[in-house]
Amino acid sequence: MRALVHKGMAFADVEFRSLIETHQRMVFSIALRVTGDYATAEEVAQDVFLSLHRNGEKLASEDHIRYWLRRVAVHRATDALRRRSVRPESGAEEWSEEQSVEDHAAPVRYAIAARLDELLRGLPENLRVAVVLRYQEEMLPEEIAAMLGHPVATVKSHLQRALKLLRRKAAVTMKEYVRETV
Amino acid sequence: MKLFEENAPEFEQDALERELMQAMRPVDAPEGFADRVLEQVAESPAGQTSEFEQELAQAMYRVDAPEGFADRVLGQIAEVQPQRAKVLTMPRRVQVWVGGAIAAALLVGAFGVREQRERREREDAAVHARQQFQQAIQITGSTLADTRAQIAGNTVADARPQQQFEVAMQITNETLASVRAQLQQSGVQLGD
Repeated sequence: MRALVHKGMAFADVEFRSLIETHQRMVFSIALRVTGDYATAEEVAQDVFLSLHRNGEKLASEDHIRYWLRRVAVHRATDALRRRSVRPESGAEEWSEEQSVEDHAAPVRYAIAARLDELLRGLPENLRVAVVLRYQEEMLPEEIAAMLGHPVATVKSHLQRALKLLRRKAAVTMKEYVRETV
Repeated sequence: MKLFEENAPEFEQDALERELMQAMRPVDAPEGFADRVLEQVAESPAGQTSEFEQELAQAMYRVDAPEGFADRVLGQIAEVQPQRAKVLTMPRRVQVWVGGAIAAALLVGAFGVREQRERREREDAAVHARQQFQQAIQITGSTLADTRAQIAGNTVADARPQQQFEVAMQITNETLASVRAQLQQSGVQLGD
C-alpha cells in the first residue's frame, strides 16, 4: 500500500482501495465456491474489481455496488468454470484443509465444512450458484431470481434439488469421515 | 336427505343446521398431541432439510481474499489504464469543478474568437474606405487640374468661367473636408 501511495496515487485510488477491502471477501468467496479453484477465484475476483473500476462512476450507492459485484462475480465465475476443462487441483484442497482445522463445531457440521468445496463441486453449475447465493450471501430466492434473471420457481427448484444432492453426498462424506477418524 | 330437496321447507333446513353444528362441536385433542406432532416434525424430511440448511449456511461463511489482493488489483489498474483510471476515479466534486472550468474556458475562447473576427472586419472596412477616399481625391484632383488647364488656355476675356471654377473648387474642397472629417470621426486613418 505504501509503495503505491509513494508512486503518486490519487485520492480516488485510496478510496477504491477501501472499496476493494470492504468487498473482497464477498467477491472472492463467491468466485471460490462457484469455480472451486483458488487461483481461478483470485483471477475472477481481480477481474470483477477491474470492471468495477471501469464502471464505477455509474454506480451510485453502496447497495448498488454490492448488488453489482455479486452479479458480476457470479457471471465471471460461471464463465471461468465453463472455460476450464480441468477439475480443481491441490490449491483448493489445501484451502479446504486449512478451513476445516479452524472449525470446532459438531461432527456433522465439521464434515460439511471440511469438505464443503468438494460437495459443491459435485453440484451442477446452476445449482451451485443458487446455493452460494442463498447460503453464503443469505439472499432470498426472489432476490436470486431477480439477479440471475430466472423465475422464482426455477430458483426454488434449483435450491431443493441442490439440497437433496448435498444431503445425500454429505451423508456419504460423513460416513467416510467417521471411518477415517475412528 | 329429504331436507335437501328443492321444495323442502326452510325451517327444516335450519333444524338440520342446528343438529349438525351441535354434532360437530370441536372436541379436545388427545393429551400430549402437540408434543407428538412436534417430535414427528423434527424427524420428518422437512425437519431434516431445515437443520441441514442451517448447517450448510454456517459452513458457508465468507473466506478471506488472498493476502495482498487489493495491492494486486490496484497494481493492475495502474499498469493497464493509468490515465483513464485517474479520470474515472476523480471525485465527483472535482469532476464538477473541472467540467465548469472547461465550459468557462470554451465560452471565453468562443467570445474571443468572435471579438477578433469583428475587429478584423472593422479593419478591413477601414482599409477599403481609405482606398476609396484616396481614389476619389485622386480623380477629383486630376479633374480639377484638367479644368484649370483649360481655363488657363482660354483667351476669352469673359471672367465668368473663372469665377465658376473658383466656386466649384471651393465647394469641392468643402465637400472633401467634410468627407475627411466624417471618415476620421468613424476611426478611419487617412494618409496625407
